[in-house]
Amino acid sequence: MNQPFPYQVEVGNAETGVMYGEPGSDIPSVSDVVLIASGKGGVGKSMVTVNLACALKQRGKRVGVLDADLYGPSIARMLGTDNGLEYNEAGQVLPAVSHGIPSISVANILPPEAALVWKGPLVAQALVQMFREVAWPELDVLLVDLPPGTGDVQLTILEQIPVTGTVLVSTPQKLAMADAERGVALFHELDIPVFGIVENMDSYICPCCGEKQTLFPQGGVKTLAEQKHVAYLGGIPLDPAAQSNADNGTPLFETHGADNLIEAFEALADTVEKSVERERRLRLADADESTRAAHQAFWERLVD
Amino acid sequence: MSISQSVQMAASLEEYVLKALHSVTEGPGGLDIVSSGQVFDVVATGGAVRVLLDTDHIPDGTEEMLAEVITPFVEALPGVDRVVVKPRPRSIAMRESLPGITHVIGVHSGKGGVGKSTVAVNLAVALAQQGISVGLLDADVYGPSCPTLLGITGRVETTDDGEKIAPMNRHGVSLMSLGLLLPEGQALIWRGSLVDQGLPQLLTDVDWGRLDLLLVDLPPGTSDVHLAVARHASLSGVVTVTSPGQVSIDDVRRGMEMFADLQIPCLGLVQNMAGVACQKCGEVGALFGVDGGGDLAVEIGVPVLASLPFVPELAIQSDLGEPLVISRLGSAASRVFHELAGRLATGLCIGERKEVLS
Repeated sequence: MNQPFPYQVEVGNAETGVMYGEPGSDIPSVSDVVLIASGKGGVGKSMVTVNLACALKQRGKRVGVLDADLYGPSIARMLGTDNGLEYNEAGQVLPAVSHGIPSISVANILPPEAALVWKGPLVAQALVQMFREVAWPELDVLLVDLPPGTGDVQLTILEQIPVTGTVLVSTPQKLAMADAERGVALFHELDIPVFGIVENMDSYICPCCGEKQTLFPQGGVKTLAEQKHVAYLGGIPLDPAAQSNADNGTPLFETHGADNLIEAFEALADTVEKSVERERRLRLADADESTRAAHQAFWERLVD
Repeated sequence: MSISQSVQMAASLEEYVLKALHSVTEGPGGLDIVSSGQVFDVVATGGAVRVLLDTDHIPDGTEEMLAEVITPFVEALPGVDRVVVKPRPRSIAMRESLPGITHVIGVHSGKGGVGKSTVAVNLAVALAQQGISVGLLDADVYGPSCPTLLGITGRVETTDDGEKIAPMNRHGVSLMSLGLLLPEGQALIWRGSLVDQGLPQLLTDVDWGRLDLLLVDLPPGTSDVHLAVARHASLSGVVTVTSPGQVSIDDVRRGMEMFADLQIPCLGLVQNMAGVACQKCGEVGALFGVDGGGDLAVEIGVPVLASLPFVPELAIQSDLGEPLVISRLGSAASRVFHELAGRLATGLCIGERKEVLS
């Protein structure tokens, strides 16, 4: 018994015939899809997603949020959207809108006491519907809050949806970083650009005296980013006030007194915006025939 | 409104809905759906009502039709906010028990990162210290943490006869984890269908020996992995770990609903990260909200088995592979785990326990 487990990577999907590297067609009203991922759970993906969305919106971007965490949806609570969605005249689901950000989450559809125990094929179907059958308005960026791990949800999105890039979130704990490393491996393997790693909970701000102190040993995430040749996108402190605001559905940007958190997210939004721009330029260059011809000529000359 | 009042109200609402359902009949002169056994029970939590159907008594294919009839009918009753119609709880376990293992307990949470693995590992070690033979199966196939927390590195090997996998042993706990099969840093990309094949092997192809208790550290959420574990091991119950914030409580509720559907009892809640002390002024800040676990426990009627603060240096030590019940035996946190272990063992009537100076 040399290999007791079938742990090979499944490439492509026999049922749909869609392979990695040939993702499905574009979503008509969405310009770029950016994933927010982490290996480990509870590191703050949803919190980063919501606040990054707010920061991008403040910079004048049209941004939407899709909660792909079907088993533990948090976006609805953090953005303060209600249960129940409306339909347009064509019978398409309209995303919930709060704080000027359109979003969709399983929690908008299911009552809070209903558990979602879906097998793989159903997950795929529901996810693709969330992307393609929702009447998204014209968006510059659609942020996708992924569940933890490297399972069905990640695979389905990477197979079926054209993804511009990924932001990874990790805490400075060794465990979280080990899982983040697995995440980087997954995206690199599938040739999806990793915009960088955000270090969440790098410090704690006491609500009483405002003292900033570290919770975990420092420097780990930075080292990991260097080792894996991805950008380090800075640290975000843990602020109990921000936590209770998240529970109430008020993102940071609507509250006061969390200046250092807001600064961190403005910097993050800047990086994401620039990275998306770069990918967009590359895409345009790729689509342009004369550039492609020039590339080909270059390689042929090189071979000669 | 006091708790006893709200419990009483729920009970009377259940009775009232059940009585009303007696007036729904299969056709003129037919039996009503309650007397014919089609409606198994009605459960109310606040204004949310669940009508549980017994599929044994419902003709094949008519279940959805029946639900479509019941839903608007019950929704229209006074005091009802929401209705869910679903099949009655049913165990999906395919075998009575695993050979040599007396009890299998799942450690679960809805949300990730609330400290499931930390709780599972310290609970396992505390149980072992009390003289109980305990195994730990790390079923978090996408982010196995238990080897790191127990300070185990390396790979598992087969037993001498080559038939099975020998689990690793540390601090008296037998551990099996996918982390012990995979190279570090490699992503495990498993479709649900692969989970169905791979996970049963972790239960049956491992030489666990005789165990009083096998703890299964489940991944967050309500996924294929949970179903696979429930199918291949007859779970005696689950211990649910949560942080106090509402975001976590939402997910916990969903998880508990799933286990209720599978007829697996929740033995209680462990509330983790219930605050952190400032190193300068000593003020205890609520890290992820305040006592959401306590409120939930009251609402759904399960005990809070333990409540743990967040202690940064313990988190660091966990990273180094020293569970706090070993490195800090005698500390407040280690006492919490020993009490938890004691409650669990007593509740399940396991073996002869030793008193540990915790």
